[in-house]
This record gives sequence, C-alpha cells and structure tokens, in this order.
Amino acid sequence: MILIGLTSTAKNTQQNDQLEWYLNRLAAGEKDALQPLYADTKAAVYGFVLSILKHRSDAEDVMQETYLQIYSGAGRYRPQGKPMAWIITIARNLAMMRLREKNRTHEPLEDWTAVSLSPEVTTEDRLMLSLAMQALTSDESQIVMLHAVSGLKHREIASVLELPLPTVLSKYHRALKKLKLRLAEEEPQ
Amino acid sequence: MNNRELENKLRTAVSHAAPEFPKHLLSAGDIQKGTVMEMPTKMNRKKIWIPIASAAAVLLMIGSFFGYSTYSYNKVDSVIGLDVNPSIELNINRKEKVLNARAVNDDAKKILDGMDLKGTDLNVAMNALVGSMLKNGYIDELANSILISVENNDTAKSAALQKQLTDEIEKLLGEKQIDGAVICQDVEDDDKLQKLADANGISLGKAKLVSQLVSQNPQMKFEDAAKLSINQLNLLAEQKGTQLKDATTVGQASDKAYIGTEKALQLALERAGVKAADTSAQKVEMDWDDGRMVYEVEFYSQGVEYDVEIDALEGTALKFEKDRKDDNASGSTGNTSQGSQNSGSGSVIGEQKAKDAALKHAGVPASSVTWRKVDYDRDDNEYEVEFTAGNTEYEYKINARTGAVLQYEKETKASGRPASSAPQSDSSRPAATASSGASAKRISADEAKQIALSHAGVAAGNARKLRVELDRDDGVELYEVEFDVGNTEYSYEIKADNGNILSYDIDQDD
Repeated sequence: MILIGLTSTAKNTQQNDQLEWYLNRLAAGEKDALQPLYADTKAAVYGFVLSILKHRSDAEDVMQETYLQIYSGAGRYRPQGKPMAWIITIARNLAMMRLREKNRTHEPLEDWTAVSLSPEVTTEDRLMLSLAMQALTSDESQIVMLHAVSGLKHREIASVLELPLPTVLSKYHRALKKLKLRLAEEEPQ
Repeated sequence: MNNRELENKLRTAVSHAAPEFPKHLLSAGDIQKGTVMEMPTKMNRKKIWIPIASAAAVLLMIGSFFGYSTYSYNKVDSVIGLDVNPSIELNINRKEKVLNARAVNDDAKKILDGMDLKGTDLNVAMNALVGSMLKNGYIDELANSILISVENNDTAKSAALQKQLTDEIEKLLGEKQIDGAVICQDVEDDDKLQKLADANGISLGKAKLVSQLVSQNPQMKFEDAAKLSINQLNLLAEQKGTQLKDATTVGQASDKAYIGTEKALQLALERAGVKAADTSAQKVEMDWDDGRMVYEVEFYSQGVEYDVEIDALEGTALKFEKDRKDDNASGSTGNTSQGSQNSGSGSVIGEQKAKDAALKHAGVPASSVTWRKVDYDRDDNEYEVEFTAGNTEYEYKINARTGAVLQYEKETKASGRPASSAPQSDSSRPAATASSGASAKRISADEAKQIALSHAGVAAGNARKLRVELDRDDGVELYEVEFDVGNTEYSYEIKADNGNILSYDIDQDD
C-alpha cells in the first residue's frame, strides 16, 4: 500500500514534467502543444472556473481566454514544478474579471439538472455538478474543485486563493460534509 | 461514502462535462488576438521563402521598385545550417554575405547573443560561430561533431559551399588541436520534414539527420533522437552503420566522453561472471535508452544468452538479462529467463502468476492485452511485466516470491509526448530502496508512517487505507501520511529530512 502511494507521487511529478514540457513548447511558439495541454488540464480549469462563475457558457468563454493567455504567456512561466498552480492562477484572474463584469447584471442560477451537456455526462454526473454549484458557497466549491479535480495540495490552494491554510482546510471539510448530506437526501431510501 | 469517493465522483462529473478542445483556438487570428509575444522564429524561413517561391512576376516588381542591385543583394541564395548542439541557420545571398542568422534552440541563442553577423562574409561568420562554440565548450575533444547543411537549388553551388565550409571548419578545429568530425549534407525545402523539425525545436538539417537514423533504426523514436547532440547522433550513426543520404562525412565522432566498447564488454563479462574466452558471438553496440547513452552488450556462454546494458558514462550495469536457449522445460513462450527458479531465495511464483498479478492490479482483462515483455530479473528477484491495452502501456515489477506489485507505470499514448523527461527510473522506485541509498538525509516512508501513527495514538493494526506519499513543495520534501480509523480520517504532513510534523488534520466522518 505504502509503495503504491509513493509511485503515484512519482506520477504526479511526471505529470508536472509533462505540463512543463508543453509550456516550454508553447513558449517556443509551437502552438501544436496547446491541444495536448488542453486535454490534460481541461477538467481542472473547467471545474474551477465553473465554481467561480457558476454559469456554463461563461465558464466556456473564460476557459478559451485562459488557454489563449497560457499560450501567449508561456514564455513567462518559470519552471518550479507547479505548472498546474500557474495555469489555475491565470484562470482565476480571468474568471474574477468576468465575474466583476457580470455582477452588474444579475442572472438567475443555472439549473444544472436541465442544461444541455455532452452525452458523456451521466445522471449521477449532473447531480454532482448541480450539488457542487448550488449546495456550496463559491469559496467551498472552488476549494473542493481544486483539490478533487486539479489535484492541488491544500497549501497550494491556500496560496492560489490567497486564504490561510486553516481556512482552506475547514472550508474543504465543511464542503465535503454538505455534499455528503445532500447526496444522502437525494438518494432514494 | 468517504471523502475520496466523493472527490472521485466530482472529478468524473467535471471531466465529462468539460468542453472539447475548440479547434479554432489554433487558428492564427485567435492566437494573435491574445498574443503579446513576438512572432515565433520558426516562421522566418517561410517568410523569406514565400517571395522567392512566388515566381518571377513578384521579383520583377521588386526589381523595378528598388532597382535590380538591391533586390539581388537581399535575395536569399542559400540557407546554411550549422548544428553542434547549438543550431543556427544562416541565410546568405549569392555573394555569400549573411542576410540574417537565426537561433533554432536555446544553446544557439547564447552563441548568437551580442553577435551581429548581418552583412558579413559567410567565412567570417562561420569563423565567429565556430570560435564561440569552441570557447563555450560546445565543441571539444569529447564532442567533436559538426553538421553542416546546405540548402541551395543549384547542386554544384551547394557542393562547392559544402567543401568550402568543411575545409574552413577543419582548419579552425585544427588550430585548437581537435580532430573534428564534420557531416556535410544537402537539404531541400521539405514541408513534411520542416514540420517535424519545428515540432521538435530543431533545424531542418538536424531533422534530416535524425529522420535517417530513425528510419534505419526503428527502435528509435524521432522525438527522443531529436534531443541528442550532433556528436551523439554521429556516434550512433557510426555504431549502427547508418547510411546517410546526400552527405559526406569527414573524421570520426568522438566517444572519449564514454567508457568505450572494450571497457563496456569487460564490465558486462564481469557482471555475468563469465570469462571472455568462454563466450561467443559478442556484440557491443552503442544505443540511446531511457534518456542516456548506453552500450548494449550481447554474448553467449554455455547455452545462455546474456544481454547487458551498460551506462556509457558511468559504466554501471543498467539491465542484465540471461536467457537459457537450450532449455525448454518451462514450456513458456517467448524469450523469458527462468534460469534461476531453483536458486536464490526460495521458489518463484512463475510467469503466469506474475502476469495475473499485474492484470489484476491494472484491472484489465487478459483478452484485451498485448504482452510485450515478461522477464525474470534474478538480481532483484522480481518479474518485469510489460503490456499494452488499447493505447495504454503498462509496466510492472512484481515480487517474484510473493506476487506483490512493487512498482508500476501506466502511460497513455497521446499525440506528442515528451521523450521520457524523467529518465531516472530510480526516482520511481519504492522507498524501501530509494531511501536506503539515494538521498542522504531523508527519513523512510515507514518512519514517516510511525511518526504519524504515534502522534495520533493509533496502533498500526487499526489504521485502514494507509497511504504515504513523498511530495516536493518549494524544494522541501514532505511525506503526506493518510489513514482512516473507524469514521475518522487522519492526514499528516511530515518533513522528510527531520521527521517534524508540519501540519495534521483529523476529520470525523459522520
């Protein structure tokens, strides 16, 4: 058990190496590296942006802006083994900008059980998404997304979101508890 | 449901819902909209060549606008590629004046930094470039190979340029008492090759050399070989007897940086415990494997085929395989080595069980699997099992006595992977071996586990789902220890160098 755990850390390192390599290639002007980079990070970026904006088409717009900025800014990335945190920071800035624009025009929350989504999305997926969007505060769902989907450590999340580590930890645990509770309610007994 | 299961569900949901790659993101307009960086340098060639390609009408127009002499001066007559490890391309006009110089890789940027070659004679430019490469240690007696590529539609002119450049470079190296090895080749503007070159960040000339090496040695991959220096490529080409088209080679690639074939053979024989006199069919070949130069040594002795891979720099044995050719008793298929079933530490589970263990762990049915390798490694008493399922490659190390999974790697082939950017397989070894030798000041995973358990006041037997991960954060090594007791989840961060607890979290799950 212990041994496998260690190996999976080596995997994380390998994944970071891979992301850094894509960023290097982008920095060298090879835009072909954008697609594999996208494939490896889309869930992380999407989940996070969604948890800030809570709106599907806004999230998709911001996502595209994020990858354009990754491409144009790849030369400024300094390899320190944290490409995911760098990408997430870009996504956060763009999403916050979009949020500020939007706050002037209040829209009702989307109903995640009804919006049209890719056929890959199962009923259970819809339920999870709608709970994450509606049952959690924005902070909570950002933290959960960053931990569960982006694979960031709690202290990395704290630094990306500029929150103290204990706050991140308590919000994370509270969020998971809420989700479990709501899931139990949804399940037919 | 526990936290991890919940997180997994959420992860699945988001991956399913995340939009596919918007193809239009790659279209030039979009990229430029968001872009603040300068035009990628790889476009330069195209920009210069387009006016040339677009026929006489355009040339005439330019001619009549600027006068014939200006047009003629700025017309690119040849593209000269100079590759060592720095890769530089020079556009020159008919009078062999440099019109511009382009750095293809980072090493080349260092060489070209502060050098203005515009308007200089080709010979002067070559002199300056080779001089700088000598000064900066890119060319020396350990790495003496230089690739010159000439792109000119006139073959006679191209040949003359090649001869002239080879002579010039030999003279320069001679002055420094270096026996150079110069490969000179013709290249043509080839779209497909140019794309490959661009994708790998190398010059067109180097791409031509690499593609020939790869096509004649199918076990090599283009992306891997593209990372090698010209000296390494030249060495491999020599050792493997690769025929280079449209190229002349002067001198021999230096292998002085490496231990040499004789030493490699001697080390391999020592490793096998076999005398040279008792062997036959010896073969030593240089190769590139897993991010390093190696010698592949093969020989037979008393019905056993030995296959040893020696690190070409360090002389350490990286791989050691024995294969008894005349013993078919095990009834196994393929080239496996079960020679030591009755020796060493007790009995061995056998190939089939090793394969089963790997499959079970991977969660893949045997029917969907292509086996690539099942080898018994006598020294480590483990099986190396490799297979492919779909486009995913699995590599396992299975304890040959207990059938436990010691190590595994899973790699899904996507387009454009980096060529093993993490070549040290050591780093992915279990802590049991890693902590014993590799890094001096680090507590073991087991110690980290003990520290966490004793802090929590939990007996090892009561902890479930115990996980220990070694993690690096800002250069600090940490162990993350997680375990459950009843409904309570514990997670700890422990500094790997002194065992101090950095943070811990106890979560009651209700």
